Parts: sequence; structure tokens; C-alpha cells
Amino acid sequence: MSSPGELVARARRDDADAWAALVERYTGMLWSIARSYDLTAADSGDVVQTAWLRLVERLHLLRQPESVGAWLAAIAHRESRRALRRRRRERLASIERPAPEPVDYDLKRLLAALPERCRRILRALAQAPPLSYAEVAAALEMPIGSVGPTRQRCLARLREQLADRA
Amino acid sequence: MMPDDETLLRRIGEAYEAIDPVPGLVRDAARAAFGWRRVDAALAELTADSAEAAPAGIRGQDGPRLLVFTGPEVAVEIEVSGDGTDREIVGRLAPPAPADIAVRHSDGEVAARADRAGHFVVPAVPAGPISLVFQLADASSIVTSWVRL
Repeated sequence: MSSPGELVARARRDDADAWAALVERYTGMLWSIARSYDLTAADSGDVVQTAWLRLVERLHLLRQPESVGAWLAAIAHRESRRALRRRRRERLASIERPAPEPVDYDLKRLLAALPERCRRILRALAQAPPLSYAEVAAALEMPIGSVGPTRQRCLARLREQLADRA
Repeated sequence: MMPDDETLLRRIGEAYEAIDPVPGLVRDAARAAFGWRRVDAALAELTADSAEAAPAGIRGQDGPRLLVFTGPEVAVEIEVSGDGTDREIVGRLAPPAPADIAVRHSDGEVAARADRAGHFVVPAVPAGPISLVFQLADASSIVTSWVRL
């Protein structure tokens, strides 16, 4: 599989397949970031689209192509905060429900019972293809050194709950 | 039997895919964004937006929104008025120069022209993300960052 840096290099040479591979790799991450702000589906879609448009316009200016995933994550956080501020300012009570909580089967219910930080990191770690720890760190705005320990702690909590249920 | 980390994470991924999948339209828009690439144009990035600067609860939703884009040697100021699907953009290119303008949006583009003073008016711009491209007389071009109207 091509590295993110290689995909950026190929996209710079107008390779649409490389762009599609970047979209495949990071759209799920961007979506989960927007949803972690309790944005509606429409606002989350706008955040994701804005992040990709930002990358299109800055593709040839990107200083660290290898870090494109972390760069996109930072844009998604910034745009999510912007969308949140705009909503508050407009004082439009959103009719649409924000991110739905897991409900219907066991694992979903167990996930819903985890602390928010655990839900977010497990969701980031569950992305396919997998994100690098640097990308997970950017997606959660946490130091890279915390990713491993938090992953272990959250998986352990989920396991405890699975064991309790059994 | 307790699943290993990899299996557990895969099941978590499947659970989120069932609970809150990325909408197909969002993926489609992300793929399509590549078509908007303009390598030949100088980028003017958003440097001011009245919709961002206005303090909470003071600004009404009716006044025009002022946006400023700044590039290496140019500035583009636009005022956006109107609501719903049709908005009007009144703007100025600095330093002043005549230019052919294309306002790009999700479904295509709207053409306009800047006069010798760099002034332009673009009626009937749809809501959603837009970006302006200026084609100058010397064959150089300027593109603004995408902003959401």
C-alpha cells in the first residue's frame, strides 16, 4: 500500500486514483472528528468537504506530505469549531439529532457506556485502512505518547464489560 | 473466548459503520473535489470574515457578510448579501485590474467580469462552498480559498 506521502506526490502529478485513495483513507476519520463535536449530519458533511477542498487548494504547497492525515485532522477540528460557533450564533436549535449513540446490539451498547475519550480513540483506531498513531493523535488532539496507553486502557475497559456480560 | 485487539477493533469499526456511516454523498463530494484543482493560479487565502468576527448575539443575520482574501500580491474583498439559494456578491480586486471571473460552486460556475477599477458584481450565486477564479489580462490567474456561503 502506498504511503500518504507517495499518494500526495502522485496526486500532485494529477493522479486521480491517488486522490481517491487519500479520500478512502481519511474520510472516515474526518467524519468521526466532526461527529465528535455533536454536529448534525449536514454540518459534518460540510466540515469534511471543506477539509478536502482545503487540501485541493494547498496540495502543491503542503510542506510535509507524509503528515497529510494529521494536517487534515487539524483542519477538521478547526472547521468543526467554526461550525459549532456559527450554529450557536445563529441560535438555531438544531432539529436534527446530533451523533446517534450506539443502541441496538451488545457491542454498540457497551461502546455507548464507555467514557467519551475511549469511544473516540477506539473509533479512530478502528478506521480501515488503519491510521498511524500520529494520525490518531491528531484526530484526538492528544500527545502521540498517550495513544498507546489510552488504547490499552480503553480496550481493557471494553473487555471488562464484555466479560461482565458473558 | 475474548477476541484479540485486532478482532475487537474490527468489530468496533463495523459497529460504527452501522451506527453512523459516512454518507455516500460526502464521499462523492470528497472525490469530486480533486476536479477543482488549479495549479496555475496564485492562491488568495481567507484572512477576514465578518461572520467569524461578529460577537455572539449582536449581529443580525440580515447584513451583508464581508470576506477578505489575501495572496502574495493581491487582495480580494467581497460582500455577500441575500439569503437562501440566490446570493449576490459585490467585490473588488486590488490592485485594480480588469479580469474575467468564474465563481465556482458545487454544481458548476457563474461567470462575471471585473472592470478596470477591479469592481465586480455577481448575481445568483448558490449557497454552499464557493471559490473565485480571476483570469487577468497578462494571462496570470488568482484563485481564492473555498468558503461556505
